[in-house]
Amino acid sequence: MQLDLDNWRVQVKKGYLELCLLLLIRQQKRMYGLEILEKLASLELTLKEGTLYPLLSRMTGDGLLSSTWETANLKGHPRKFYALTKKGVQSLNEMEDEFLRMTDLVSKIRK
Amino acid sequence: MNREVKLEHYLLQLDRELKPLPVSRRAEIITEIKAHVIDAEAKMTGDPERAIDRVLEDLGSPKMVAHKYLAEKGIAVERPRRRGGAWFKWLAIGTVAFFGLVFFAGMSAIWYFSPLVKIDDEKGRILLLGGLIDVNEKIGQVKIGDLLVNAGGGDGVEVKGEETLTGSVRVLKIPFNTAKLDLSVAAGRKITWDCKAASQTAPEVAVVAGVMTLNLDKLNLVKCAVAVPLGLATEVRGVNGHMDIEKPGGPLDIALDNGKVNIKTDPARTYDFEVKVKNGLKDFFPRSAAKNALKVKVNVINGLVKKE
Repeated sequence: MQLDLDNWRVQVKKGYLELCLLLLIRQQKRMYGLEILEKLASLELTLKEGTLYPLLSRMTGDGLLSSTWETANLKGHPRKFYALTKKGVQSLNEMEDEFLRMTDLVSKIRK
Repeated sequence: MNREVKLEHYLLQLDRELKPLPVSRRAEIITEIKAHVIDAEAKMTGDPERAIDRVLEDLGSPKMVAHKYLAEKGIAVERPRRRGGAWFKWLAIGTVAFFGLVFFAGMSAIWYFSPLVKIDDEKGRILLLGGLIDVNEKIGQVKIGDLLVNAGGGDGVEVKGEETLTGSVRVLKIPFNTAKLDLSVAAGRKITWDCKAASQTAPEVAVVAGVMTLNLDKLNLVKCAVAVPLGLATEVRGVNGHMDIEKPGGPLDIALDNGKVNIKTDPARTYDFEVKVKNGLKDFFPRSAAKNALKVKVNVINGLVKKE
């Protein structure tokens, strides 16, 4: 059963992770990779950095996120900041609704 | 291995695994992962010597990270086919690892040590992608890898031409690849070009539905001075290069992947600038809502946009 549960978790987590990422970025307005990882870790949602960056890259490609390179000061190295685009905000609203409908359904059945 | 070598080794491997992606995408990914490593390292507690190892371990192997990028892009990852016995595999790994170590210890892969865009304004020099592209204004040359765009005259075949502007032409498009391009305003109603190219190839000129295309794309390593009649909208699409624009007299739309754009404005005109540089620097370019303002749009991915 253990293996099946892992597989199930992977499948469920994929969409859920994107939702959490967008929620987090919306709440913080703009964030860079490490900042997102730390925030997620503090919420006990562990995510590998090797998973996060490709995901951010894809979501930027899909037009949900915009990215800008910024350097804190002259000597500092640049960081890539992500923010929600208009399309990202719209998609997030729809995802949120859908997710709430799903959890609602689960609790209704469980009653 | 010291810290830099470990980091560069990791980034180089990652770059190799990302081969199916275009170089500009790879450069962007490499820069972001490098920024992550530097930040994460600074936050690591414990033995600072070991910090780099732990950060790289947390990231996962370059292969794994690259595969995730490719998978997100929908690119299927090629699985290595098994060939020969296990001894062959280990011999190959051993040989590669040995030469890899020698190479990295010796050379330290200078490529990635330098940032994506390095600008030395005083010396009029910019280096892009770790020196792969080198724009040196003092001696007037652009170098791409080992190839030299001779901007100072001298060698090269002269290619000159002109085309009278007919009433139906509304837009002039100039695509180029690896060039030094000077744009100025023509005295009459003719578009003229005066180029020095690596070989004798005339630029292609075509007019389709009001759009005239002066194609410099095939004239590799070219230096061209193009004069455009006053008021004609001009679109330039360049890959690598250096552009000098003298007193824009018509709407301009410039997109350059790597390089530098200098704009000398005409004090008698009002311009509405929209200048964007993804990686690099730009001078302050004012916007204007005035009705007679000339629209000048510049988009540079890696490089510099200067105003004179």
